[in-house]
Amino acid sequence: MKTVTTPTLYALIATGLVAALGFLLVQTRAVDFDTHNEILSSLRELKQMDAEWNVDVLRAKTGLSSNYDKVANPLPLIESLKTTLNTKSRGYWQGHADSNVRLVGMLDAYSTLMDRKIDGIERFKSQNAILRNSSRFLPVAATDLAEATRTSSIAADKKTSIERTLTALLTDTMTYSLTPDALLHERINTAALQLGELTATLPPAVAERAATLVAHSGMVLKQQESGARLLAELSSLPTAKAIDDLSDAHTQENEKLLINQQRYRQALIAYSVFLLLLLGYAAWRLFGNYRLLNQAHLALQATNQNLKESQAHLVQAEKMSALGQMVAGIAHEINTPLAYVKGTFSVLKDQLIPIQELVAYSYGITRLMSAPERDRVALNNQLRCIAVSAKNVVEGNILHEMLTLLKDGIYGIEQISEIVLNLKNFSRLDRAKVSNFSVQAGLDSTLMLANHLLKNKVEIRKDYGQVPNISGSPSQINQVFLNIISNAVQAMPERAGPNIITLRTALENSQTLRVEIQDNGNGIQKDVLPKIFDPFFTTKPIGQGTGMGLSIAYKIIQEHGGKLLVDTETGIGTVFTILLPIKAAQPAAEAVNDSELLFAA
Amino acid sequence: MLNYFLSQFFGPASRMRANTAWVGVGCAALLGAAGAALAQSDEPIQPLPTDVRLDTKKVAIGERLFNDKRLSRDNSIACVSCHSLAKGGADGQVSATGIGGAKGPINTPTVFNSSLNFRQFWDGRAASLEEQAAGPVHNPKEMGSNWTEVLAKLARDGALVDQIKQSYPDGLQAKNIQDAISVFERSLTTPNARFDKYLRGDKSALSSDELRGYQLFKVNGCVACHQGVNIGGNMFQTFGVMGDYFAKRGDATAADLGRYNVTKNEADKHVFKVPSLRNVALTAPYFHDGSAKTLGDAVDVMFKYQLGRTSSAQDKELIVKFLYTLTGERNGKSLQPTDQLTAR
Repeated sequence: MKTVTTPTLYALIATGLVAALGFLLVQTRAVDFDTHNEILSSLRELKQMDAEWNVDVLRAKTGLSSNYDKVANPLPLIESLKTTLNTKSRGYWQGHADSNVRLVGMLDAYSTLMDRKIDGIERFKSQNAILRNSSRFLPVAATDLAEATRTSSIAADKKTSIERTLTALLTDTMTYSLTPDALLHERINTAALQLGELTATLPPAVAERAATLVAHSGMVLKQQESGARLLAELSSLPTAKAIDDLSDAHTQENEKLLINQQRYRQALIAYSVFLLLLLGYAAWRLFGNYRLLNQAHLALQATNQNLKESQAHLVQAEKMSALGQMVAGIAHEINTPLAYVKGTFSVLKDQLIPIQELVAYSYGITRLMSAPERDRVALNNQLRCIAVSAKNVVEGNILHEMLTLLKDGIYGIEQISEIVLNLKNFSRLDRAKVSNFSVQAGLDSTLMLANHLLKNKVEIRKDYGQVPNISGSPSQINQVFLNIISNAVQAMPERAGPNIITLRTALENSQTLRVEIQDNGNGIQKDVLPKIFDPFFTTKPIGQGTGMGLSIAYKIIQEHGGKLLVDTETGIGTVFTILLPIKAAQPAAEAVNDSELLFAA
Repeated sequence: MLNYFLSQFFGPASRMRANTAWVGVGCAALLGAAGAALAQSDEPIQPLPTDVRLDTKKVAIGERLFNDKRLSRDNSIACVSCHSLAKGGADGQVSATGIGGAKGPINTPTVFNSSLNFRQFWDGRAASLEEQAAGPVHNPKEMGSNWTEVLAKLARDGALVDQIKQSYPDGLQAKNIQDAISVFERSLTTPNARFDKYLRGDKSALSSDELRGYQLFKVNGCVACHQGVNIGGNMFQTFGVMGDYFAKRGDATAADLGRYNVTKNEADKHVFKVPSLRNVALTAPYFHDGSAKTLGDAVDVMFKYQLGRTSSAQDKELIVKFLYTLTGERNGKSLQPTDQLTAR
């Protein structure tokens, strides 16, 4: 079995429904009463014309009309009515096969009848003209013959019998032309034969005239017969009945059509109700679906919100992690000079003892000297003590040593101070953009803060070119450096050879600055490479990395209008190339907001 | 005794005919005396209507096309080439001459009053003038062309196309050409023949000889077929009712078969449309085969083969004189050439 997809199925069902509606609409289309009436009126007109035509033919036959114009004139009108009837009727019943077959059949039958009638009437005209010519000429021919006979030199009794015969022939023929009957026909034939015999041997003047009379008499007989036959044939042609039948059939079929139409109209109403219900059901389903969709939408919104919060948390965690690293580094860095200062100060504290002693003796002598009665012994004793103490201080070079110690202490404090300054520079907590940020200084600060990661493990090589300051956010760019450098350090394997990170700065072109951070670590796996900038992607064990480092770096560089490129070779190392515009592009407000969101948390 | 018969058989007929009043044949008839109107209503021949109302723009288009030789294959023949209005609407030839000098099979019937014929062509094969117009265009011995060819040629004539477009919204089409030509042909009636004037009551319109000719025309039975407004043209008749004309003449042609060529009905052999006798004095030679050179010859043949008798020389002359009175007018001018007028 063929499987049909759901949309195709629905499309098929919809097409079917529309087709059914279309079918019903076509079936209930308004009956064209105009055409119907025109057809009926054409039929009436034809019938009227047919009746009048019959009368005209009879008038021509009986001599009431002196010409055939009236018999010939209806022809074009009959033709045009027939054409109208044919086209209208065929058009009207198109699409109603049964009615069409019935009516077209009747129309064709009527057409054939009418053609036969037209043909019959043509023959009648020709025949009637001959008949009338001969019957009209007959008396003239008879008179001519009588005249010729009278003036001829034939015997008187023969003249009488010729005259009697021709009179009989004339009378009978004329009577026959009005009321034909078989007996008369017989008598005319006999008389004609007689006349022929009587005149056969007579002079041509008589014989020829007799022949003419006989010929015309014969013509009257012949034409009268064929005329009667033609008229009988014509009157037996049921044209009027055919028109009535057509009229009746048309009305009947039209009634059927109306009843059918009524049925289809009812079906259409029922079908419309069905469609409305279907539509209602569909609407109800749609509403249900809409509610489900809305719920799903709300759930998704909530999930998305959660996700955003998680992301913010993660960013925060990343920051905390960076902060943690920094704090560890700073603690370590500060610890050394602090211990140094502490040592110096405890030595200084020890060095103060002889000086304290000397000061105490010196105070004793001034007090003895200013007493009212001087105690020489005590004075001498005191002087001896001062001498010993002073000699001790001077010879022990204690003050010089103290000065040196203080200098050392100050140096230690300065070192701490420098670290704090670096820290401040690194983080630039105000996050403001500056226009004179030196990427090299940034790299150096980063190195110092990451020192605890690098110490004894990585050799840093610097290859700084002559580059101008750029505008940008130091804290953000430094974070990029730190992220990349700490990734590089983590990528370094345990091995005999030196682990080297090379930092390069150079001018890419007049507008762009290039920073390269290259390591000779393991490189990035090919399958991992496309994902390294994705948020939350990490190769570190769970809990050790947020997966946000490089994604944040990528976003920061993008926001600065720069590019972050990576080139890696497994087992050889990786180069991250940062391209930064020297003059900051105006970042879109949205991007700033986004970064605010990302880093403000 | 004979007179008794004559009155017996024709008297009642005359009375009956008086009942069939012919109404509305034209203003002239109404203006005439009541007696004249009655007399006129009696006549088997009726005058041509003087007033034919037609779309003059279409008439103009039709006239242009009627004279347009592009309707023939080699642009040598127009309708007017055979239906010359100066030659009684025909060509004065035994049979028509088509493209390349081809001889047509039949005598050219006049275009004058052809709208009053109940069918067109000698054998009545076209029911209307519109239908007729297509005939000669396609006949290889006449114009030898076809509508596609003709339309392609006419389409290049912008002025004509515009003119047609003004009267026919669908423009240059075969049916519109046929229609325009037929409208023009409807304008080619020739009213006010002297005989028509007589019929309308002007008794002085005919000389006594001519009137006598008309009486003979009726008495001898010519009027049995040549009747009605067009004095013929409303029926078919066998050529050779009372004798075999074709056996006598010899050289049988396909055209001699007449209506049989259309119906293939044996009874229609040698049956032709009865031609109109209007302007007959202008359209020699006569009959479908153009065999009768003069009206006298034609009257002789008709007497012999249609009426079954011979006429006296005097009767024939009178009938011919009557036939001369059937020449009508076009655009108010008599079609009768001056030499004929003097000859009479």
